[in-house]
Amino acid sequence: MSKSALYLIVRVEEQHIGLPVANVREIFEPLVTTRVPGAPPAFRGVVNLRGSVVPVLDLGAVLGLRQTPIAAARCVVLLEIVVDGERTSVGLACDAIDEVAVLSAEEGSAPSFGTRVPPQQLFGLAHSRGAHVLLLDVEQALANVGMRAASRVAAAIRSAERSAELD
Amino acid sequence: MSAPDFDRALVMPTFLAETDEGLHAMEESLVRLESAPADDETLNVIFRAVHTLKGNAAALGLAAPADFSHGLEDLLDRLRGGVLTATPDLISLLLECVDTLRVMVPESVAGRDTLRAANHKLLARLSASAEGQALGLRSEPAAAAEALGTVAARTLRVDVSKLDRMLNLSGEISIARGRLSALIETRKASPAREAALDALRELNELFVDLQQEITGIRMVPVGPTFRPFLRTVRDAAAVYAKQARLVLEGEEVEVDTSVIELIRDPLTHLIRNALDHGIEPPETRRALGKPALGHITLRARHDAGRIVIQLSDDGAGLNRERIVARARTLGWISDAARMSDADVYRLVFEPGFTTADAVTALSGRGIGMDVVRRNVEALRGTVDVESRAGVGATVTIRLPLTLAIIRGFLVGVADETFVIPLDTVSECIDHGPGDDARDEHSGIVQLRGEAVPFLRLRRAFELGGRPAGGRESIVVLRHGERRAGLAVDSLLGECEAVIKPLGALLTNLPGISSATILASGRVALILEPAVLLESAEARARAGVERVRGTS
Repeated sequence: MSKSALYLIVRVEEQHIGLPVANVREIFEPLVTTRVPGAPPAFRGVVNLRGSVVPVLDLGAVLGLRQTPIAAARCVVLLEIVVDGERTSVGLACDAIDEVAVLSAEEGSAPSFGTRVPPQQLFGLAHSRGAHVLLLDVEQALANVGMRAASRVAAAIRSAERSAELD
Repeated sequence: MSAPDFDRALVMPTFLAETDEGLHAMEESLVRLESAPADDETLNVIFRAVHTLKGNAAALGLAAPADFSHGLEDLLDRLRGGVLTATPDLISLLLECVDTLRVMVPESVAGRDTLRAANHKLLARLSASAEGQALGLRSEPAAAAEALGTVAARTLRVDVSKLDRMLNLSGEISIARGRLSALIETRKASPAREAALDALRELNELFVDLQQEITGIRMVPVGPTFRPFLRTVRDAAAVYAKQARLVLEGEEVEVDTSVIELIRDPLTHLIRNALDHGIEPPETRRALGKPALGHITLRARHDAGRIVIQLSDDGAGLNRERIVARARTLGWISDAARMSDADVYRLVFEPGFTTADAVTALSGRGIGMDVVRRNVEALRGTVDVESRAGVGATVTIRLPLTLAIIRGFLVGVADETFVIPLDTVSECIDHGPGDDARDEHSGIVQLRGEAVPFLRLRRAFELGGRPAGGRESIVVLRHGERRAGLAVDSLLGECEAVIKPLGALLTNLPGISSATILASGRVALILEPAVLLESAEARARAGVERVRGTS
């Protein structure tokens, strides 16, 4: 069984990445960015997108394709994702945007190794115009970069909540 | 009773809502009556509520509530006539009737309109009380109860989300206004510029008025939130076999509606804790020479742009030894001898202090106290506890009056701008190029003979570089009982910051609570000074060597 869906194909470090169009809200040019002290390295900072404060991540750094965010990304894709049950917006800075295409990730198409991105962050692998496209499970990929995942405090709070519920 | 000939379905929702309000008023008044048994106005409120309910139920052909209210009215009549006295037992009985009616009325509306056996039993107890109680002496009339609202005001129910939207929009206007003002001011002097500046000034005045109105609409008195706690205390006291009364102070103090909504649960928790573990059993209290009836006071007041909510009890207080023992078991502390009482008490708010073990080992004050603190801190508030063994404990919660806008103080560090909540700022001092090392993480500055420690924000946030000319400013903050500072490059003045959330990916940032948008359109982060200063203290405790090894 194959699942076809619309993907926005972007490029980062010469790698083609497919972002589910269902999550994509808009594409914007890089804005003046405010650094966020204490945030994980993949965070470029926060921007003012028409009155809302939106965090911007470097897609290359999120996927481990490069260590540090590059200073001048050429475009930012705004995604809407659900983190810990909360709907939130996040910008992903990429090197270039290619096209929107209908791609299908076939069952078992994700190789268990060999890709530059951890396979558990992928829906699978597809082909478009002779190139491999990694179909990214954005919520999975971003779940690990947020402060929630990084924070031991958050874990402590969650465990306290659980014990409070037991009371 | 014959079925009335109008459309019942249309009337029922109104009847149910009115009954609910009536029962609430009755409940509050009954608890009030306990402390002022001869207050006629309070009695009248109760009587009117029951009378209205009886009349409405009869008109709608609801036999069960009508009959039950009738029985209730008989007893109240005797109470009002001074034949009976409102003893605690009688009030318990009447509160039981309120609970019964709460269940009975909706059931009867739904079609099950008969009195159950339990209802008959309760009615029998009512009439026994009405007949059987000896003629009690009426106590001295209590101070006149506050006049209950008699003039019907023109009011309108508005969804709070609409008010939220208005407040957000006014914040956006404020930002746009700042941009416009900056644009006009950079123009060359000309009559047109002067005219534009004039118009802008007028706009500013109108805008400030509008914003005050909008913030004002959202302010509600704390009374209606506090009053149900009277019943909470009464019921919980019975459960824990304690004797206690809740006293409310400052019911008229106003606070943003969203703040009060979010503080209700933590307060319920604190009140139950005070009863369960603060107030001693009556016999213990007597043995200690205290009155058997424990007092819990819930008071609200405004202080320096914040609302202060205090819950005091005259119980046993926190047990220092037990807290220390528990913390030692958890491996948090090794030597408590040097810890002040305040530091020890603060431990009960730490996450993880709550375990099944702690409930018994610690006079249980630890139950969910970390959750209370977390809720309060989520509202940008603080919570402190004071205690004197045998005399009682006081928990003080300080909260901002509104959650949407804060008065902020802008500071520049490297090429970034940060907002420090103004209510934490005590003063600012210049720290010229001196002989101390500008790269150090922290330092000490002399302020009128006091040695004030400060944290260098540039280093704490790893922003790199050095301040131009080596000059810094230090923003002195109130930090608990003491003072501490943050060293910054420049002071940029006060602002009204519209708070913007950072989103789910950036929660739990150390020392940063949220963000705002500056007049320039740039995002500035809002600092959480208490966390920054605490982390500096923790760093100092951990020792320089270890810090160098890990950072």
